[in-house]
Amino acid sequence: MYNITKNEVNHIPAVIINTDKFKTITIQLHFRSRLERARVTKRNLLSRMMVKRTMRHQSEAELLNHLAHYYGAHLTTNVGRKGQDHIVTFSMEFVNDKFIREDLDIPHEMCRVLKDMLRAPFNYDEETRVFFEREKRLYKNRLKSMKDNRAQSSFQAMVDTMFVDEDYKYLSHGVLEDVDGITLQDLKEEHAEMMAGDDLVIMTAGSVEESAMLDNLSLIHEREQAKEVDHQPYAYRAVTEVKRASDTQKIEQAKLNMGFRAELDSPESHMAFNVLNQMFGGTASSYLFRNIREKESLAYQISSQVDMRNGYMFVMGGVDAENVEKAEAGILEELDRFRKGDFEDAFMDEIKGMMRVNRKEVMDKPKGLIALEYNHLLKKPDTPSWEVKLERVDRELIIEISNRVHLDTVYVLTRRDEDADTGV
Amino acid sequence: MQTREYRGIDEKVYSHTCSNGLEIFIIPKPGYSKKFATYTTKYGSMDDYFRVDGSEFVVPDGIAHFLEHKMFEKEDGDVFNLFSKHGANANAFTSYDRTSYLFSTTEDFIKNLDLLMNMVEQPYFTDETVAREVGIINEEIKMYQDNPGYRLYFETLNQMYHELPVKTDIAGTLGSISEITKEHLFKCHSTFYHPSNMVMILVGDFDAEALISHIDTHQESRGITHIPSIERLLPAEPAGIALKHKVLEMDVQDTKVMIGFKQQQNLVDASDRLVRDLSMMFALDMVFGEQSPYYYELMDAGLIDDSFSFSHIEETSFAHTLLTSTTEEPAKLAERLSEIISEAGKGGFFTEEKLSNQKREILGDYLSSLNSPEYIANQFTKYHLDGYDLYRLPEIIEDITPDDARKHFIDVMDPDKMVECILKPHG
Repeated sequence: MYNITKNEVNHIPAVIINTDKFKTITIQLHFRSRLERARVTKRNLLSRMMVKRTMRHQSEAELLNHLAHYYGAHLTTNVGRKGQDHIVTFSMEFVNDKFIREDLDIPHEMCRVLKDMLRAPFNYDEETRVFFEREKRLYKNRLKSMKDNRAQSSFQAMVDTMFVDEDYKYLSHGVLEDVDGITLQDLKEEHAEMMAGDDLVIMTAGSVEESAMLDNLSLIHEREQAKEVDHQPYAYRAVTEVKRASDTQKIEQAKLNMGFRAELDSPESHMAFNVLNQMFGGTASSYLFRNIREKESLAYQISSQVDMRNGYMFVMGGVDAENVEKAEAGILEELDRFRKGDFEDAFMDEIKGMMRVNRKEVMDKPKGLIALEYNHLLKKPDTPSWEVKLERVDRELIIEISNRVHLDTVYVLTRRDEDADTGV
Repeated sequence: MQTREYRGIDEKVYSHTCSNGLEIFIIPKPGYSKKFATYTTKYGSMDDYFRVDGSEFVVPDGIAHFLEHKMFEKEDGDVFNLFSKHGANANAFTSYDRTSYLFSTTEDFIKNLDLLMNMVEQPYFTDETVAREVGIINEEIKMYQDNPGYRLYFETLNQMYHELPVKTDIAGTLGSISEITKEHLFKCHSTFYHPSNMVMILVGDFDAEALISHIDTHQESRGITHIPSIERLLPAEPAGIALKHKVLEMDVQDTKVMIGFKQQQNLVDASDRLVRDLSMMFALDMVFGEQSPYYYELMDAGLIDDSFSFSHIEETSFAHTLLTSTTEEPAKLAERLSEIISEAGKGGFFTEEKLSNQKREILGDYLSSLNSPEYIANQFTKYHLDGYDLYRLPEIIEDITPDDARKHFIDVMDPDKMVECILKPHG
């Protein structure tokens, strides 16, 4: 149902996923660099500023009006991480002109907007200062409001404890304390570094005429030579003792967060870790959901997630304040069941089946298709395919991997003692 | 089976009504692996006082949501796990006026559809399972109580409404859910989960005729012939607001404010409500959106940040507009918003030029949304239950004028119907 071509425009890899399933065309620019504290906060601020004002459209209102005229094209940015890397993504999504009853070359114009956007920071000057200060204020507010989300703030606190002297603790969204110190000059330097030194890939999904699209994409950016950044996960660090931390707040429900490290050494072991997570706490049919929530009523929310590349697993629970210890013991007992092989093969097959279904469903979304293809690009050429790796995951491998998963950190955010339960 | 084609947007809808009253809509999405089904009852958190075939019933708050949770549990276990065994992701949600059960899958669609129908149609409640659910839902209520945005929202609704159950948390309260018995659940199920009160939407790459015939056979086998008359009884709601101003304290980083404008639901006709809904969407965007000079004035004065948002809600029995932001100066923000509303309403602000650019933008967003089977199924259901057709939206949008926007803006944003709720850190 779709056809993928790998091209190069101006020494930049450009992947086109041609499909007529969608009513839109999506272009994404992925800038990849190593995740470092010195970089991550600047890049968050910079990328937000870039999608708001460009060379030709010097105010947000002007740019938005222009995009609205082109049938509400959306220019957005987000940040994420993979392995040791930080990725800044710019997305341009617009309606395919075949649904429009007027003669408008939308892809061409949107590629011009992307070009303008990438160049704008070279011209940041004193006049940009008011805009810059405002964006700093907004960014700080966004980071502060994350602290009001108890699940997010307790997750962050767990990560801070677990990775106390590792770069991994700098989540992709940046560090609140670093925002004030950033200068406009810092941003210009970071931008120059990003344009010249990052691993950049252009991804497109939609129904397009390929050669015309490549002409349009060639407008976006130019490089004199190809630039690649190697892609690696963090090395495994053995757990010597379990770290514990806690805080109190005036809240109704306690949050229990646990962090684990896994020793993974092959493509299959990473996949088995992923399957283990789905069986343990990643789905509504997982052991944690069925036993800790449904059977024991120990938590309303309980789930686990993994960073498959780096071998980290995190359990997040919303637990009654009285039940924190019981829930922690229960969670560890559920994990122990996998170590002892106390699970049905049928359940493992069911989870693998669900993973296949979910992967197919992702392909029904433009950004999902792009994400899968981008991951594919980052893989070493000799890596077996996703399906082959999944097939190789069997009972023995699940048992082996679950025995290589070690509890590293427990973090609890709970109710202050003086706050007796006042009911709701 | 009826077929309706929408050529401008390249979409098609097949529809059918079963003899027991169940309505089915099939929306083809050629080339998609994903198939999406929703089975929805017109029964939500507001329906706790009703009359069926002449007899009146009052049930505890939060029962529609409670029932939704309990429908997944059967004598031989949790149906959730069965969906997963058959390669489907299942879920459900309850709103003010409906409860939807849904699943998506890329394989064994019919098996999962049968599972969905049987799960929703065959209740299983015991005293023990009901008692256990109270604990689970109580934790859910507590979790929401710790969410500042949710607290602010419900406090604002409570300032606007005296009686209307929209002001009550969809999940109810610990007090109300503790009163729920299995008899209440059976009564609500037999009343509101009657096929004539339900609609099914299926989105994906299907053989529509075979699918309708399969559902028809299943529905025939239920042997339901009596179609009950259901009347929803709502308490009389005064036109005015309940409480103008309120300050709430929580463990939060920054002060947040929510401002609400209550509109007495005076529109009986569904198409009039749709026009007001769309006109308000355009009007609010013109005045407060990111293309408006007012937005930047508020931003530069430090009165709002990018958490600033606004929405107009238009339902059969109520309508209101909400604006909210994190702010250091809630009083100053409320004052300036009131001034802006009065300035913009005076005329000259709502122009054809602004509106036409917004229409292009909305049309683009609408077409993008049609990439998503979930969006189509959920919105098609919502629009259908409200008496409109999702796929006719572009035509209705086309007809909205700057005068519509201005007229409704002035009417809805009435300073006498304004409430203000401030949520600030513990002092």
